Amino acid sequence: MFAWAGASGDAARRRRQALRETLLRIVDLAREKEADALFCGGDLYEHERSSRDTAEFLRQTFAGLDPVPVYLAPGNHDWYGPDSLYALVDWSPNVHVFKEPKLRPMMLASEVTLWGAAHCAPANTDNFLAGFHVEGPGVHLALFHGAENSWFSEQEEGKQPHAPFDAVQIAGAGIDHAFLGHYHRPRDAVRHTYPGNPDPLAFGEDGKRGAVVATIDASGQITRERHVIAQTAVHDIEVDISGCTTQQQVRDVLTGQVDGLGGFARLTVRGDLALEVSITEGDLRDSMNRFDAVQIRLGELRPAHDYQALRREPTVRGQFVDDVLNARLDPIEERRVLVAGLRALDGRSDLEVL
Amino acid sequence: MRFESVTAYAFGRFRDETLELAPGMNVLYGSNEAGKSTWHAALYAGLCGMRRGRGRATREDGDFRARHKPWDGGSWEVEATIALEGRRVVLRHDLDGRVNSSARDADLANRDYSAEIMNDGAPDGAVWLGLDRRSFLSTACVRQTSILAVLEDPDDLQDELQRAAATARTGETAADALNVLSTYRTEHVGTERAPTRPLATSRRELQEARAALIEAKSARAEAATRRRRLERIEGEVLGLERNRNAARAVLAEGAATAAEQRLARARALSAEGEPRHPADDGDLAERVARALEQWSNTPHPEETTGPTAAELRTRLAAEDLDLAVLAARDVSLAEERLARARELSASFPEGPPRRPSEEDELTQEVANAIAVWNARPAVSGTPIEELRDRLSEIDKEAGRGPRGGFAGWLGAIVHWIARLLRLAPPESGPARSDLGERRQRIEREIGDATRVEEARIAIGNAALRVGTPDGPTDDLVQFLREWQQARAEQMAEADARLTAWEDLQRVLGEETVAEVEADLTRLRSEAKARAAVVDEDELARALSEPSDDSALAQVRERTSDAHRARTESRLHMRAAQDARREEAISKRDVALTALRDAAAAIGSRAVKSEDQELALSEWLKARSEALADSRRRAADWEELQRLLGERTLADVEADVLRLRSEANSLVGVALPEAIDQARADESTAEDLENIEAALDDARARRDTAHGELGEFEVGVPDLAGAQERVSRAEVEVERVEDLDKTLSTAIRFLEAAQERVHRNIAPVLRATVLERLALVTGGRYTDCRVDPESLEVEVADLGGRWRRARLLSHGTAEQLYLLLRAALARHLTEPAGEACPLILDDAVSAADMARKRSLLETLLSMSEATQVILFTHEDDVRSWAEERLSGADNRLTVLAEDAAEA
Repeated sequence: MFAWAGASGDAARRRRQALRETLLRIVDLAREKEADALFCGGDLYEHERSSRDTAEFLRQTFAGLDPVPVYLAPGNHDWYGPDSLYALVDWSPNVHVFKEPKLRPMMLASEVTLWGAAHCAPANTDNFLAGFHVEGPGVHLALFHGAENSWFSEQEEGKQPHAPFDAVQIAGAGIDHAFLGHYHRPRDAVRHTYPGNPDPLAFGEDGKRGAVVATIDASGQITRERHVIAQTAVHDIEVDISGCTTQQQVRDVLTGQVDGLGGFARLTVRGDLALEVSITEGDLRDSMNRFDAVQIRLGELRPAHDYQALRREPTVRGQFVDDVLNARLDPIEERRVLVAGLRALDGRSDLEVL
Repeated sequence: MRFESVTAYAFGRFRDETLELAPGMNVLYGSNEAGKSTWHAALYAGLCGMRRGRGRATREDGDFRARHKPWDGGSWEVEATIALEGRRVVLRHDLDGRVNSSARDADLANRDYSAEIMNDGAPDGAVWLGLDRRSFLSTACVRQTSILAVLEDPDDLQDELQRAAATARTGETAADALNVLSTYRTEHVGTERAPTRPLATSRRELQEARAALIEAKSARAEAATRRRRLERIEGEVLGLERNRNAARAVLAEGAATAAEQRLARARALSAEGEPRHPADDGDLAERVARALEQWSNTPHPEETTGPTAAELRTRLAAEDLDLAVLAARDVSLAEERLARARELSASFPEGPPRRPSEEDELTQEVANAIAVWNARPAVSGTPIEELRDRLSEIDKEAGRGPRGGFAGWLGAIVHWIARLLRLAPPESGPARSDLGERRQRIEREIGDATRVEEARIAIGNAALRVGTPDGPTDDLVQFLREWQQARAEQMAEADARLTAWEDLQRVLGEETVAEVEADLTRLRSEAKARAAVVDEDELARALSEPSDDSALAQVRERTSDAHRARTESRLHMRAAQDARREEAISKRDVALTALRDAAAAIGSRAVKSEDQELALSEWLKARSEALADSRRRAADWEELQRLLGERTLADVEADVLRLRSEANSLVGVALPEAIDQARADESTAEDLENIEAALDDARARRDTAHGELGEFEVGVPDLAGAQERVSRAEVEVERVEDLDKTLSTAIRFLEAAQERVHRNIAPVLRATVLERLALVTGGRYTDCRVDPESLEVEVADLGGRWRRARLLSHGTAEQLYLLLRAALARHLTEPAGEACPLILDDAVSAADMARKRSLLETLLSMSEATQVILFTHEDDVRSWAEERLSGADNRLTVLAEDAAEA
């Protein structure tokens, strides 16, 4: 997450630390609410990037909640296997890891059963609810990592439908409520809950994502209370640099806009960029060094220059501009080539163009 | 385009002052403080105004403002009236607020051209020239320094041309720009072969980052492999620990059980107390045992039956006599046999007699013939033929037709046979019966006659065989009877010889006479030997007694080898039996004595040996049991001592409780199935040792693997960091490659543009220069050419010799420069259809008068096509202007110093 350009090693470490603090806050919330149990529907960590440090952190964190039971249902990113942290960590007694790709029961209390399952491979996990029905009396809850089909289209691009199922299958299986992982976008449905990613994973996320404090009555009815516990500040910033004729002016505009902000930022630069303004992506990053990481996007960035007039000039410059404009280059490349060429004709050496 | 006037409403030092200009050559004369530079700037500002873009002003704008904004801080306005092709425009610029700037038609009301020439927020009259504020300044304004530079460094001429061609002199030459781009590309991008440049370093970093990522992944995989290996070993350790615990538990159980059993045993042994020592009667016991053994081992004397040995010996002696008698008899018989054989064999010196069978056959044939003859029927003597005729007669009488020949005879026989068999019907009537009887009689007669005849033939044949000549049958019969008698006698003699021969054969048997003789010799020898072992008198007496064959056969049977062997065997057996019996009787006596003594020793009063033996046996048995009990109790005591060791029974009881408790504890911690297995395997201490050895080894391997894994994992690179490093490196490579692409594309386009523009400008320059080349060079140079690659100008003299323009004399070069500037200005503004005014600031001040005049004349010439505005402070230039400028198209304006001061 946020593994895009510009995230330095320190920033990445801070990002990981933020994710850990988010989990700590969830545990604190469980303690504060005197929860009877803590559920995690998978993707607790990245299997491929997990480390001993991650393992020890998770062990200590959940052990700190003892005796409150913690139920973990491995997902497709943290699938259960002999090399997984789930198998390797010497969990405290209050932690229970579901280890089979079939729903297995755990008694939470008298006549309250939790059915949990695990992804045991990074892909191709079947529908946990297919052919399944609960057994025994009382309230039946479920915890697993799966993709509810009707909500799939609402997810971000690139999301894969792991362990797909239909919402009606929950009731069909006799489950009163299912607590689910996988979708980042939150959803409070009648019989299932997607809490969403508790810490931001991308810019432009919507919905109230975070921890869900669920209260279940004897009839299986549920009341939910959402808590935003994100530790990572994410900002989507747009700046118009029209009229700026120096780099300093651009910096000033930018500084005024990001004053007091921190965390992760996505900066979109747009407007009319004067030829004489010498500014690069690196310069913009310098101006936003208060952030842990900055992603820079070029919005509609136009040259503050009358290329049409220039192209009529019977000079090498005019010919150059005319040729470049006629070449139908990619707009960004066209702008960069024009600016670099014109700056060179002006005898300037700031040829790297935003 | 021509300036008609410029009004400084508020510009520098000027307030509401106007400078009128002629359309052709304008010389503006004034001293250094007359405001020439201000008017120069006002002209520029009046035409182009100032940019009104957002943001901070450029440095050039700032300088301009500093120099020409009125000092009193009021408005800053200037106005220029210009004549374009077909219209006149008044350009008014609010240089400070830049709001009220306008470009209105000078002649037509309400016609504003501002929109046509709006540039960077403000009207810019240079646009009508195809230029802008910046390029107008560099295109139209010629400073003295420019000309001086040409004079000082002819290379600048070409550079100036190139700069003008490139950027209308607002920037660098295209070559410079390309150089800047290339240099920048070299420094900020570089190539793969430049190891310190960004392209190589960024790609190297990416390569290294990817390698580090692979290494990190590989290290993680290796760590996982090591972890799995450790897990396997840990599993092995766990299994061995389970097995060890189970074995320990089972062994502890066994030990506890054994201890409990020992305790029970010790308790039982302890209850018996200490053992007592047995009686010291070992010698007596040995004596008793020996007596019993001797008695029981002594054999009973054998019971004997049958003849005694003496009787058997007597029998054998009698048999020896019989044998001697028999031998003697055999000798006698053999002698008789030999004599008989010799006698009989003497009759057959030529071997056995022979009786020919042929003679026997002849004798039989003769005997048969005589027998047939003797059996012949009596016959009448009627010849047979006659009898047959009679028979024919009878048949004829019977009417049945004669049956002649063989057929008739055969028919009669058949009929006769049929009648005998009662198959043929009887003859009918008395006649027929008579005839029949006759016929039968004749037929019998015929038969008898036939048989007689046959007998006679047989006699004849026999006689013929024995060699008797033919004769009457009766003679022949007699002869044959005699022959038969003689023959019988010969046969009797032969039979006698055969009998003698057969006797000889019976005497000899299968032997020859010589062999019989040898037998006799042997028998005599045997008889001699037999006679030697018997009493001679008894033998003689026996031989004298008559004996027949039957008696001899009995003797022979009685004295056969087999019989004698059996007798001798019986004798040997009986002798041995007698010896053993004697020995047994002797031993039994000794044993009985010992038995009695022993019985007496143990105090037995038994009298009979059987009772004594029983008493001794019981005494031994009782003693043995007492000893066994004593030994058992001693062993039990020793066992108890071993069980207790140095401890008391209470101590042992405590130990047992402890062992059972320990066993229970061990069983409690072991897996039931492992314990079951250990019990089934009957685990031993040796098994436990083996398990513990294996466990030690597994633990050592586990500790090693654990330590190695720990050390290895410490060194495992951070995968997330490695991936992020790759991401950063990829971004940097992308940035550098994008920059490379941008720069290379810019270079490519710029090179192409340079080439194209130079090729376009070259003919323009040449044409412009040619227009006035002869004029400005006094006819010395009549032709010119421009290199399209470098824009270098060359001129040719009348002799056709080409010279590089920058190497001409200063004066010529200056004029050429002016021509080329004008040409470039024309070229640059040509697309707009307007001629660009030339504004010169003390452009000729450094030249001598002759060169000044040449330049001024050139300018004057040029002003026919292009408005020329020359600022000067030189008097000689003023004088030239007063002399040369006349008419409405040209003007000398003297700038008043006082006005400027005002």
